[in-house]
Amino acid sequence: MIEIKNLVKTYNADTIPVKALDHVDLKIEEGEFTAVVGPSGCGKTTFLNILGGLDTPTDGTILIDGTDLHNRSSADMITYRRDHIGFVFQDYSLMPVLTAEENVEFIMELQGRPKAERAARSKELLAAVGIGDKGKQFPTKLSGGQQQRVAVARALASKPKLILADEPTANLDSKSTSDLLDIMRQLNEKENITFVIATHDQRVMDRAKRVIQFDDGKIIDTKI
Amino acid sequence: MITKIAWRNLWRNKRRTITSISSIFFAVILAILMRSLQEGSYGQMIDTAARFYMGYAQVHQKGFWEDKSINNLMTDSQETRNKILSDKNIKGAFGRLETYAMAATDTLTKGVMIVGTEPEGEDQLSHLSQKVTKGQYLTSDSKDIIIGEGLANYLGITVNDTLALLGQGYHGASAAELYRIQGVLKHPNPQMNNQVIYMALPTVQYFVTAPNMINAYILDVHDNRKVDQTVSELKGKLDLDNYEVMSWSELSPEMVTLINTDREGGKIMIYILYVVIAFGIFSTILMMTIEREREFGILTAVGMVRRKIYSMLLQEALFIGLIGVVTSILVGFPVLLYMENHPILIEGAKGEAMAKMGMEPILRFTASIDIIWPQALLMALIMIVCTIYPIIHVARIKTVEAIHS
Ligand SMILES: Nc1ncnc2c1ncn2[C@@H]1O[C@H](COP(=O)(O)OP(=O)(O)OP(=O)(O)O)[C@@H](O)[C@H]1O
Ligand SMILES: [Mg+2]
Repeated sequence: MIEIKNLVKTYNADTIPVKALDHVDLKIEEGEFTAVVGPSGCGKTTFLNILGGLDTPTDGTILIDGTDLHNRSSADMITYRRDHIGFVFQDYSLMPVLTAEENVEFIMELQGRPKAERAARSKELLAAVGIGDKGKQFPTKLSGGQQQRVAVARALASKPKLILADEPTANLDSKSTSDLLDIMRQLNEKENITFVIATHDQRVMDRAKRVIQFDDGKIIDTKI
Repeated sequence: MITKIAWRNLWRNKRRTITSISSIFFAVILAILMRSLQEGSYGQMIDTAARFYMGYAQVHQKGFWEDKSINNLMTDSQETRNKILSDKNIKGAFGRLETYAMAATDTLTKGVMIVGTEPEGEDQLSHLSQKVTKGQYLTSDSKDIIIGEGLANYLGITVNDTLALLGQGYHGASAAELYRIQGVLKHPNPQMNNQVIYMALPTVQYFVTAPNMINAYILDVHDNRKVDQTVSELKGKLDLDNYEVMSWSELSPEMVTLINTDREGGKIMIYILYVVIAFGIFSTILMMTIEREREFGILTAVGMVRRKIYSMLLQEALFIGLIGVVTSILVGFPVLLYMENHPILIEGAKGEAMAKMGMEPILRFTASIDIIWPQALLMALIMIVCTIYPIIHVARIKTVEAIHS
């Protein structure tokens, strides 16, 4: 379970402080499929970055299963992310010099998993996201939707309990979007993986179990 | 896998990578050729000096080099000769007895240097017979002498004239004798040309009343790069209580200094060249880094520790260096081997001038690993140094900002 308490993020750009997150309190249960929505600049990305340990809060804490997420050195934070959090970014986040399979395997190699396990799991994951036949392709040879599926497979590689996705469908057509959402929902249901997805996309909101509405750094509404 | 990624990263911008590799390739080729030519010319200098007169090494009575007195002679023994000749790098050895005397004609006198030598051995080392311009070269039983052209001109004498020599003999004996001139030679060393007199060894031994005595064995070698090794081997064979063995570098320390100075000069040129190309390489590596900031941000986001990113950058740089160095060695070394066996002939006035100075009119190259490995090492060092700042740059990247840039 994730407990977000009194989360504040203030940017001090050009001496005018911007409150990107303004006292956010929230609990996310294991196995949720949550969409974070709101107008541009309302703090969605900031929220995900802090939740994923990519950025530090100005104030407040995030407890994941009872331990303070940000109470680690930056090197420990990197390995924590590697082992416990999967990320899906808006676009072009795959390593262009690695094939789809290698992109997935790479995370496991960083974890020091044996070669045979890596190869088997990456095939399995690519099959699970519906592109088992594209393993040997380089990202540039894949469509945007296919690339995002590889990104999801990569995010799953280290068997995290939490996946954070920032506008994963922003550059996808509606067919690809609905396919990707199917896959994510399936993983959520079968593997009980928690998904938090920042989005503008109505289609994502429609498929979410819970929708959290941000405005101006604050949560203004939560729908189940 | 990091190595695989580094390797593939190189080819994302083929043209830029190839440009960097070629700059290393040409710099190293140039450096190798230049150093090879330098070392070749030193070999030539040493050869010239050794063949002029000195030999590649000498064996004396212990203490002779410190006190080159006529009283510091040693007995010429077949046993010692055999020991010297048993070394496989020794091509030949012969005895010399040098002394100084006064030469007189009816009207003029001049101080001269008398070299009693074994005409055959001497000719093998220095091709002395080819320098005889008038009359005959010596034979081992010649009672007559040959003299330097400068000396002949000064004294106004020539072949078949007679010259009186007056000097000091062994252990205080007096030495005075009349000699017929059987030949005039043009010695390549101007100083010697003006004062040298060559005689057969027994003739000079009789002159100074020192039968069967010499002051040096002059050694000729097969491979002049192994002289130091040969000298230390000889030191093991000969009784060092009685003998001293000296290489050309000990006999002529000035030449060592000259060579070392010139060699350092050449190296500095290479360093300058390398610094120039290092700037190009540095900017390439920095560009390769800066344009991938977002990628590095994503890599740290998904769990790649920075140390591994640094290692990736370093490997990319070392790959570039390695390819550049290996190709330049693959191309350069055979070229050196060829050039070593096919030196460039210098023709025309320049060649003649060199010949006049007693040098072979050629540009010699040396093919040696010792020339090549420092270049490889230097390049590796340059690549590492060029990666330091890019690594610092990556260390400063803020993951969040990089991802959203
Ligand atoms: N690095 C930064 N420095 C200064 N201000 C920032 C920085 N990052 C974000 N902000 C500001 O914080 C606020 C929240 O930004 P954020 O990117 O979280 O919004 P968002 O909801 O993700 O918007 P969008 O829907 O456009 O992606 C905005 O006002 C933005 O200008
Ligand atoms: Mg955003």
